[in-house]
Amino acid sequence: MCNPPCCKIQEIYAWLNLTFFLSGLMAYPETMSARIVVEKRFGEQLEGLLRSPRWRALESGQAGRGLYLAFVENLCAAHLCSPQILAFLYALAPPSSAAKLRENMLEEMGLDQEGIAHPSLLLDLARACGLGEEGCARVQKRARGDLSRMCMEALLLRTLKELGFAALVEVSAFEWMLSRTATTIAGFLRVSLGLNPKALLWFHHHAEVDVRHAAEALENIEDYAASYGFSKDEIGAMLDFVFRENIFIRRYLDFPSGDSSQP
Amino acid sequence: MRFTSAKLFLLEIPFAASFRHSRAERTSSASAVLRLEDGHGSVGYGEGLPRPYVTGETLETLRQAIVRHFWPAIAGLELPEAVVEDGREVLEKVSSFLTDPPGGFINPAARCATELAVLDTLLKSRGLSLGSLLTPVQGMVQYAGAISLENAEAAFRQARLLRLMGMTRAKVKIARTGYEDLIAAVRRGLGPGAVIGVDANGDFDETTALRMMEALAPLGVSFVEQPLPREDFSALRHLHARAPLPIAVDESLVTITDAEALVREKSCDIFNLRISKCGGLLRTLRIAELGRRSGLRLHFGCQVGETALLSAAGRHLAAHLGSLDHIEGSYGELLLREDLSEGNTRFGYGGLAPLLEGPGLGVMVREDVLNKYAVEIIDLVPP
Repeated sequence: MCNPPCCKIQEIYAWLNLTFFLSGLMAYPETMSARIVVEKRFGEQLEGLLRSPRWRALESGQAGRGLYLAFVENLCAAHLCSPQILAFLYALAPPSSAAKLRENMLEEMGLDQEGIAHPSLLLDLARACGLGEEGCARVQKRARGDLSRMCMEALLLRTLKELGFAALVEVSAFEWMLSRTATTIAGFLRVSLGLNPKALLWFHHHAEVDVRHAAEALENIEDYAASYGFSKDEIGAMLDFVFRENIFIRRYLDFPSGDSSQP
Repeated sequence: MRFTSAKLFLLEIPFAASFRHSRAERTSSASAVLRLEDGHGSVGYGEGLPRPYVTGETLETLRQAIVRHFWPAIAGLELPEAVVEDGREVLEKVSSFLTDPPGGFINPAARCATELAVLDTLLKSRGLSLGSLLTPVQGMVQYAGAISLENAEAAFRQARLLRLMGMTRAKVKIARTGYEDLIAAVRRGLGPGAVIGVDANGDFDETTALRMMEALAPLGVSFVEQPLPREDFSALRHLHARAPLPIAVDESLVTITDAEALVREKSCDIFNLRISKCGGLLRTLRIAELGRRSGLRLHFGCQVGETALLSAAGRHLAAHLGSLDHIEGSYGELLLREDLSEGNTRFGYGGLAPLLEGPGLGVMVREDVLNKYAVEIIDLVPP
């Protein structure tokens, strides 16, 4: 008998197949709306994640404890500075989507009605996994280091308009992916690391909230593209730029090659 | 200055996306980094990437060459104290320690890794940049893009991506079929003013190469690199006499002896230089000088999958040579999942990159990344 996370994954596969089938029916990319094109690329990225051997090992419970801990560290490092990234996106947002981005940013910062800062939930998760204060400090250093590198690297894109679009697409892709996988991830972490629901609260927020955010994100991308006058060809190039590799695997599943806990 | 210890790292760094040409497809790098210590706190690094189909060198022969020949050759040496009076003299001196191993088999990548590591350590011990030996004649280096061997649609998307990044030059990998469609697709992606060259990686024979060049000349292709197999010098001479496009040599140009033969036989218009392929900085410089004296144009290539170390050495040499028609490299994390450098050595918008001014090669190596992607680490002790 299939365990719940596995059933969830099968549902996601069924949904992905339907999405690809429907997008195929939409015929030519030129006739597709930006939203459909973007969502198709999100789906391809998610499919790549779900098919990766490391994800399968995590999801099936066959990975060693070290791999689960490395996964948690990667996940925390990937999302710890989300409020800062959202603040950047809010600054560039066209009027039509600024309010939604502002709300999303305030939620992340814990300045909405719920008052729960999402970075603190990530650190709670890290502590509950036994990473300790040293592990938390390491995760924080990595997250800040990534942000710092992003600021110091030579820009590959011509203007802030393109940079903002790339960041918006990447952030939205994660929201979209989490809205479909957060429950699964929480499930395998709960079983494999013996975590309680309190430790897994971040996933609850991203499963519940990101369903809405993910839908809004696609609207935001369309708004942004229209507001800054991106052509369909430019959108295609931007998507190729953001998705030149699988960003979910890069952020979540990139572990040292010598890790003996790998499948 | 003496080297007290060394480590050889054999690396496998995954690529962000695979890269293919007619001779190979790569999804990860296969490179070697040599780390030297001088016992006074200076640590230097050098890199080499062997290419079996170009030089016959593999990671295994590289390892043997460094362990058995190059490391013993430098381990007990006293290196020069003064390094800035005459940069060329220092390069010559360092190079003189690195004679080829006996037996006639050349190990250019092993030699390159060793030469760069020696220079990096030496210069860092004195707080000097490689630019003090290789004086730059220009303030920036502008890189071109490379397009992997793909179908026309994928090539168009790669070209469009390069255009998004402001790049106006690219070299396209081609094979014996489908090259016209490929070039048309790349032209569409890069835009009408872009400079496009092709690299056949020796996939053609004399007849099919001439046909290919006649087909590509009207499409605005600027040059054809390595149309024939490496060893076919005679056919290359015949082809060059009739070719409607400039011919660049890459696989055919490994040693100074190759360079002399190519000049003597009037077999090409362009030398494509690569530091790892040619056995290090000084040997590459000598080939470049011969090319210039002979009226040839110069291109500067890279090894697919090279890290910031080899890219940095390339940047220094390219800025020193100046006026190069086509420069490749410094792709950093556009190609590698993770690069070794602390700071960023990748080019930016338009393919532009500044000179590297830090000590040695100008790269701060992240040891954690070096260890993370090492498939083997060999400790070397003074013999």
